[in-house]
Amino acid sequence: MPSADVAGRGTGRLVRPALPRRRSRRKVAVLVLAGVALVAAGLFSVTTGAYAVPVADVLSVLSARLGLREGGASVHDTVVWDIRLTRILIAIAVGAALATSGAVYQGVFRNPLVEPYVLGVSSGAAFGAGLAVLTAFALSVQVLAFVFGMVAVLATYGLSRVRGQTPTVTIVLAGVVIGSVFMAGFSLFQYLGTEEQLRRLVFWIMGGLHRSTWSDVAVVLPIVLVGCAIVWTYGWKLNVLTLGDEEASSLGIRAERTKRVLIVLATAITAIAVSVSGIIAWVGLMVPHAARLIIGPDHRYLLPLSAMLGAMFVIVCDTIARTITTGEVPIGIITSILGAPYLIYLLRTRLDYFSGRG
Amino acid sequence: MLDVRDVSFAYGSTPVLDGVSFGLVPGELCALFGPNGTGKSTLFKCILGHLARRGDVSIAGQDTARLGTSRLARLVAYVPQEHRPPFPYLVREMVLMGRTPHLGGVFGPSRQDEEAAEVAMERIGVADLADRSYTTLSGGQRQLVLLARALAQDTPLLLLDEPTASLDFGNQLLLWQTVRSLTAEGRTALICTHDPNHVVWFCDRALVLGREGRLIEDGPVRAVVRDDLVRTLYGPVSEVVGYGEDTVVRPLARASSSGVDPSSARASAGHALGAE
Repeated sequence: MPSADVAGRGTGRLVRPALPRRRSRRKVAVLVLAGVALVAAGLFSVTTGAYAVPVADVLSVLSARLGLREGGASVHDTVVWDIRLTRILIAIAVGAALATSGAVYQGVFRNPLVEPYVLGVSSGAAFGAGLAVLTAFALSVQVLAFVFGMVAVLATYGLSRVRGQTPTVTIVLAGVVIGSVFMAGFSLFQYLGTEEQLRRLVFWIMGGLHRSTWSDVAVVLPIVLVGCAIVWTYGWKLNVLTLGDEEASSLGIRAERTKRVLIVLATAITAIAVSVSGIIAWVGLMVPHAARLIIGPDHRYLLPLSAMLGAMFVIVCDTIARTITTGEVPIGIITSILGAPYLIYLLRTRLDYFSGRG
Repeated sequence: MLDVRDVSFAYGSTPVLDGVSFGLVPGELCALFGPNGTGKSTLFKCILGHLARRGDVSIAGQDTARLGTSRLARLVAYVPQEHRPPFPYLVREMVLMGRTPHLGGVFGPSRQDEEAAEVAMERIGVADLADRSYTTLSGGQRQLVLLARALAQDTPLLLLDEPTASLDFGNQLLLWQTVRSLTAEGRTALICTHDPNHVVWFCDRALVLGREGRLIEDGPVRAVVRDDLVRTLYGPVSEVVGYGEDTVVRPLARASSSGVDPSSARASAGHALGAE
């Protein structure tokens, strides 16, 4: 029986594998469950804080605001609607953006250890924000952070293209180079800035959602959600892309073009998120890993699950950040404290996973 | 089916292929063989459009230079040597990727595509592995999954790059027989291989790439796999003998009894071909 080790041919035929439909239904159920958990996390967060608001009061504020019920200004209304809800919606946008772009970068660069900042996006955005703080630029920190985030990724991408291709090694090296150039600029701003400017720069680099306003939400949330939705439609192509450029092209995918579209989309949503939240580490690296362990590597399911888990993770971290002390702890510190042990755990227990033996 | 006319390619100033021309008819199983470094993989890449070549390639009467990526992928499927992708896709997902050039919708494969993948897995005999992770399979199993993927791609032409390289003896024969049954149905296959015996046993025709990327032989396998050709390609290490109705390439009588010193044999092979 030469083929005995190939497929157990002749023996396994009677046992039909689970039907594809049933398998995908299970994955859809996981996504629905994650959506429910996300709503629950949001509700929990809105009731929690220095000023506790019961769920019933939260619901009455919401229904009043949505025009379902008469209601006037109250303390609850201010706390729920103006302070906590904006933070939660920004947390959703930031978490979804960072996790989605992390999953995209890991797929496009065929490297499970790549993260959103590898292209120098964060350093570019930090540079832009620093420039805005220092020069009191009229168009606000967000715009310049976004512009320089895009400049950084275009520079990295342009620098790493060799004969029409972008090998992973050159793109990672180019990202390091571009990132350190922008970080040098940012350090210069810190050196030149006044004490007040320095304080703003430092808080920005550590990350925080405390300054979220409804006008931020109105800009950031729609852009991020639309961006994530477009990325999601590329889920299957991203699966094929992870096999490498030549194999993807022999399967009918225009590899270079598809990669370019995905990188620009991922960078755009990262930059817009970073521009409002400051730098929040680990989310883009850790969340796609966790999602992959839960639902598998098929990006059609991985991308939406990453977005929802990312949103949930940032909501939880932000809730901790604003309740753990009487003041406000930068959220970047919380995500790092929670993220590092998780990655160490992955590294030690799932070594096979990192070496591709999954 | 496949028409290659005057294809040349050079990496920088190093010529790899020089004026290669041949044509395959539907249902033909054709071997491409020759020593290492004579441009077999490069020729595949030129046919698939991964490298900017000179010369024309047409498949099923269509000039490939004018075809888009996905239309080309509906005409020719490529079976690479087995490898390990960075993410642990299931076997069924891997095979389903073969349906990519046929997809119409936004969100990927439809139910019909999943059924086509199922049929391909049954046909190649990997259906039992469908829910295993591709990265945990043995090299031979992975190679068969890649063949199933090419079958799911449903193209008239298949290009296989040393598909038996990591397979045990039994699986090598199984793979060849599977490919034979595919060509018996009218598909055309061009297979890059290193084993002249496999060429003799399974192929209709053989192309031989020699030094400096020229096609030095093209014809029915019995006419191509000759004693003098094998000696030209590999040096005086083997001989072609009749064995009943068959032809067999076997090593020259062991070095000790025949007096051939293996190191001098390699040296003269190197001389004949230009050292690699």
